[in-house]
Amino acid sequence: MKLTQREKGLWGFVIVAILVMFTFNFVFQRLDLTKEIDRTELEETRRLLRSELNIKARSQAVSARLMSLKAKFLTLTTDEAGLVLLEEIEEIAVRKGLGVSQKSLLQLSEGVIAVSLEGETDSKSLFSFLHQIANARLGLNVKRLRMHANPVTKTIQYQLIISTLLL
Amino acid sequence: MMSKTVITLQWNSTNLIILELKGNSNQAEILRYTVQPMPEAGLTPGLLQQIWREKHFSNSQVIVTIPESIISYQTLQFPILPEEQLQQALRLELESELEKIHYRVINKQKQGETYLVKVAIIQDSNLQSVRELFTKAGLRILWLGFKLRGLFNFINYHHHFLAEDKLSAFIELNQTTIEFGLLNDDELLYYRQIAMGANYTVADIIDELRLSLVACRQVYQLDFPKQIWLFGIEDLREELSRKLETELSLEGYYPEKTRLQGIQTGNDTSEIAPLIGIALTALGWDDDANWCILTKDQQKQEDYRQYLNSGIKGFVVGILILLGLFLWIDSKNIKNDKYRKWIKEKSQITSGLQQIEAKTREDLGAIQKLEAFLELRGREIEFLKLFHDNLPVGTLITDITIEDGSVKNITGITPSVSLLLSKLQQVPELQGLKLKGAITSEKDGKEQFQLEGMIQSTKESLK
Repeated sequence: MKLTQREKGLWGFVIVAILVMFTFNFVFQRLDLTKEIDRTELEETRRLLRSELNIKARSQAVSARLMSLKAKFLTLTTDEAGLVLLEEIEEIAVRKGLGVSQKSLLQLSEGVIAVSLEGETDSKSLFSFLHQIANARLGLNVKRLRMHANPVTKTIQYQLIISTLLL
Repeated sequence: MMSKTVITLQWNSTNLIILELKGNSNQAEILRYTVQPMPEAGLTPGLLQQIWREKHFSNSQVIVTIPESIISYQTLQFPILPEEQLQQALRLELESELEKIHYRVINKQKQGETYLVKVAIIQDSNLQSVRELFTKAGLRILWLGFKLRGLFNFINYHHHFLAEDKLSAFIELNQTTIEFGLLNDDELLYYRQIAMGANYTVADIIDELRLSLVACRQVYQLDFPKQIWLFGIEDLREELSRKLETELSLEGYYPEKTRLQGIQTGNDTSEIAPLIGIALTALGWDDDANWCILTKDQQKQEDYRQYLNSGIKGFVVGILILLGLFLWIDSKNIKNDKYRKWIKEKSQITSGLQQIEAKTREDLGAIQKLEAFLELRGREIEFLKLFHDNLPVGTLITDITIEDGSVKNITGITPSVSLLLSKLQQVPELQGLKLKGAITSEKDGKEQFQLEGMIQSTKESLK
């Protein structure tokens, strides 16, 4: 079978057209990139399922730790918390013999309340009080400490602001 | 291995021989053959059709032996050259006719400082005529072969079965020519064709053979083996055999059977030997396909067929690649769907776990914040304790102001501020304290000072 140049051209065109049609139908139409799976999502699912027990155990440990920490702070309203804080500090001051002439409740910022104390006392009581504050049941910090020693009377005039966090 | 059927045909002025063989490259059997006397009219399409009809040959594809009458032989002389250059020289020699002829080197004999190359030349037009003749008879010539090559194949196929000598020799008796040949497994070492006229005798053959034996021995240093294969015309065989023994002490051997299975060829073996050899080539027993001749037209058609084959193969490969791509994409889609379904199935669990993780992160943030707050507990008392322990003797502190870990002011009186400072510098936690303002000397010789700075973290916790 001898093909003329024109026939060869036509055959070539037909073959190319068939190939293009096949390519389009069976490759490009099916190559829907929007159907492509999100590998990150797949990997994330695999990771989560693989470490399910770890995630739960870690979460439990963290929750337990947080609970234990939260026990040192107040979870009441600002007013209620202020009273509790004041009672706690008064109780320590009484226990340690700290002379208090003036006290007041303060809200230093959102979630931070404090008690301001002023007075004159001996150094032993003041330091004992500060030591007790550092080891109190509640999480207490000294925000401000101002002391003036009176060498004559051997007393200390102090001003203290003791703060804690509200949860 | 698949068997195929091969039909070979040979004719000359006296007879027409057709042989059908079936086999593959391992074994073959003779299915049928015929030796017909050639009618006066010669070979005609009608005769071929008639034989095909009567003898029931299985197909119409035939391999034809090129008739001796259309082969011309030339002996060309070349200097001793490597094979490749020799072929180029030969091509150059025949260049002017290459478009119209086919040529094959029958044998190459070294003589002194030159090669004598015997070349068989066939005009393409003659082959074309043969082809047309067969086409008219409804037969298709697959290719045309050389009777000489057929003999070569036949002898080599049977020789080691019969003798251990590496060399074989043959005498082929034709109507007007005789041929002598000496060959080994690879090539025709010596070949001579002599035109004898119509009525040559055994004595003439012996004379010519004697000359050939001498030439072979003297020029090529080759001796004919004791046993010589005899082919061709039957009439002179017995007398020739006798004379060979008495005059030249050689033994003539007429093959009367073949190693092939199938029909026994008996006395016709000698006649059909070249056709068996050619058929063996067609079955793939001869590695040298160079001896298969196609007419120029056939060659063009063959080239075109191969070109078309390549095109079709390319097309098929393209389709297969596309099919592969299609399957790959399909499998990918199936896999993606499977994954998507799996992700959806697990989404409840994973979203729960993600929430747990988020809450854990949130809790960790809260823990950090609370721990940071608690970390600062007691730092003032610790600082004051450390500061007090490191004051020089006679130092009195009057005022201290600490705010958010920052020492705003420490005022006091000491015998020597420099001594105080040097003592403070020795304690890492107190190194943050710096002198603030001027040092004032008191009446009693002591110095009043003011300090400020940051409380360095102390790791000791208050117990």
